[in-house]
Amino acid sequence: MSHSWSIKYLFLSAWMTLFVMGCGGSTDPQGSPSGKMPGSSATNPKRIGAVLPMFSHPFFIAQKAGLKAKAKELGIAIDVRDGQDDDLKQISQVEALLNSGIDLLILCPRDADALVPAVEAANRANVPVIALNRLLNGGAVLCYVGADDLQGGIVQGETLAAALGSQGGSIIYLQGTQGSSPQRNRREGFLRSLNRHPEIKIADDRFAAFQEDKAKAVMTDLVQAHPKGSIRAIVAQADEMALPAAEVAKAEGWKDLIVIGLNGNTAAFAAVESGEIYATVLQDPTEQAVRAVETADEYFRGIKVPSSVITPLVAVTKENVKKLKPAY
Amino acid sequence: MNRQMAQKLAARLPQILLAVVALVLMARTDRFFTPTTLGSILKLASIVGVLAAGQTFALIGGGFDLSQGAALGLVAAATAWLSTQGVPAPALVVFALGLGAFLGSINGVFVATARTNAFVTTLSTLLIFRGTTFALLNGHPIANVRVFRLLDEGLTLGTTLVAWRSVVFLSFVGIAWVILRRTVFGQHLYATGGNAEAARLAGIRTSYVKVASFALSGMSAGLAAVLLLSWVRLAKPDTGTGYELDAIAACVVGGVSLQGGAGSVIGAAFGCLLLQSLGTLITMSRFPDEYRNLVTGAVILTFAATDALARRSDRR
Repeated sequence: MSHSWSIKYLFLSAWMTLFVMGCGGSTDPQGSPSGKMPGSSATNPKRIGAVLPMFSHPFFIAQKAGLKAKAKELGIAIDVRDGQDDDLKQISQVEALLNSGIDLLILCPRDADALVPAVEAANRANVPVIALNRLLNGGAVLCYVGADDLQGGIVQGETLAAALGSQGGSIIYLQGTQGSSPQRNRREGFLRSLNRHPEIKIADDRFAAFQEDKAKAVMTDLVQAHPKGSIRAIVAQADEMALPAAEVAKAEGWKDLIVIGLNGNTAAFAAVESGEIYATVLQDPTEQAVRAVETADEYFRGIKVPSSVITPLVAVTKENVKKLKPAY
Repeated sequence: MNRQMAQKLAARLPQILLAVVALVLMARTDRFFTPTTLGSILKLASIVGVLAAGQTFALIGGGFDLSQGAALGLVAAATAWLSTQGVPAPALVVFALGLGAFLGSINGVFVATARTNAFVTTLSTLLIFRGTTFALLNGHPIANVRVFRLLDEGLTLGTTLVAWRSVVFLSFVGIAWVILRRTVFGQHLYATGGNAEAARLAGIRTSYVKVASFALSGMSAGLAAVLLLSWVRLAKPDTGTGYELDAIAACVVGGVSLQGGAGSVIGAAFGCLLLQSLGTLITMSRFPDEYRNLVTGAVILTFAATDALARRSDRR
C-alpha cells in the first residue's frame, strides 16, 4: 500500500518540477511589464502586445524576430504570443494580454472572421489594434499593415497569364489548409485574375494543407490522373507545396512545366534561380513586422497614422531573383 | 453450416457493398488499375501503414496510442539534426528506432505502473513530444536532409517501380504478424488485451507485456520518421501532426478492436491500403476535394459499425 503511494508521489512531484521548470523557462524577459500602470506617463515605456497565428511556421518566426528587433530599437516593450494555429487559442491569448495591460495590440489574425471577437475585446478595453498581414472582417482597427493574401493570388494569376501567353492551357491548382483564411483569400484573388484570362483552365484543384508531405502525396496521385503533356502549369498557394509538386512532376517526366509558388522562401529562391520552378511571390514578413512597430511608435508619439500601410508583393522570376532577398 | 456462412456474409453486407461500389468506381476511373497507380498507392500508404502496424500492438494489448504522430515528429527532428552533424545513415536508423521505442515505453510505463488511462497518457505525451520537438527545432525546419536518399528509390519489377518504402512497410507488417501470431509474447499480448486480470492470474507478466506493446508502437513511429525523412527530406515542428488518427482509422477499418484482445496486423495494413485507395480514387476521379473528409468519415464509420454488429452476432 505504502509502496504504491510513494510511486504516486514520485510521479506527482516529478510533474510538478517539470511544470515549474517549464513556466520558468518560458517567461519572456521583454514581456514582463516594468510598470504596472497601463497608459502611464512618458517615463514608463509603452508596451505592445502582439499575437501571431503560430510560431511553428518560418514566416511567423521571421515576423516575430522583426517585431522584437524593431521594438527594442525604438525602446518599446513588446510581448509576442503564439496563437498555436487555433482560432480560439489566439483569441484567449489576446484576452490574456489585454488583461495584463497593454497600450496597443498588434494582431496577425489566423482567420479574418474568427478573430473579430478578439478585436472587439480590445475595442472594449480601449486598446488600439494594428492588423498585421491579414485583414479582419469586423471590429475597429487603427491601421492595417501588410500585403493581403488576395493580392498574392492576383499576382500569381497575372504572372501565370504572362508566362503561358495567349494560347493559355490547362493547369493544376494546389491550395492550402481547407477553409483557412489564406487558402480562401489567395484562391479568390487567383480566380479573380483568371476571370480576365479565359484561355487558362483549371484542370484540377486540390487541397494540400500548406505541407510538403501532403503536396507530394496529392501530386503523386495527380500525375497518374493526368496524361503527360496535358498540363502546362502548376500553381501552389505556398512554396512549401510548389517545390515538392514540381519535384514529383519532374520525376514523372513532365517537361516545360511552369510552376508558381508563393511566400518567397530561401528554397524557392534557389529553385527559381536553378529553373526548377518558374516563379514565386515574395511577401516579406520582417518588413511587415517592422512597419507595424513603426506605425505603433508613431501612434504613441501622437502622430496621425494612415488607415493602411501596404507592403509590396513582388513576383520573383529568374530576371529579378538576384536583386531580392528571400522572406525567410 | 451454409446457413451460418450466409448469416456471416449478411452481417458483413455493408462492408461488402462498399467494397463493390469502390471497385466499380475504381474500374470506371481512367488509369486506376495500372501497376503504376497501384504501386504509388502502396508507396503513399507506407508511412501511415507502418504506424498502423505499430498501433495494432497498442490496441491489441488493450491500449491506445495518440502520441504516434508527435513521436514521429520528435524522432524526425532529432534524426535530422544528427544527420547535419554527419552521423551516417545506418546509425541514424538504429537511433530513430531506439528513440521511438524509448518514447513509446514512456507511455507503457505510465499505463502499466501508474495505471493512468492510455488515452490520457498518450494525449499528454503527444503534447510533451510535440513541445520538445518545437523546443529542439526552435520553430525552424531542418531542410535538405539527404542522408536517407537511397530509401527514396526502389526496385524495378517489369516496368513498375516498387519503392523501398513499400518494401519496408510490407516487411514490417510481416514481422509484426510473426510476432503476434507465432511467438509467446504475441499470445500473451492477446491474452492481456482480452482480459488483463485473467492473464495476470494465468502467470503472464502483464505490465511487461503492456510496456512492450507501447514500445513497439513508438518504434513504428521511429521507423515511420525515417521513411518520412527519406521522402520529404525535411523535419518541421508540426511534422506528422494527425498521423496517429490516420493510423487508428486504418486499424478500425481493418477490424482491429479498440476494446483490446482482437484484430490482426494484416487487417490494419489492408485498412490503410483501403483508405489510401479511397484517397487516390477521390483525386483521380476528379471528385471535388470539398467532400473528401465527409466521404472518408462515412466509410470509416460504415466499417466500424458493421464490424461491431458482426462481432455482437458472433458472440450470441
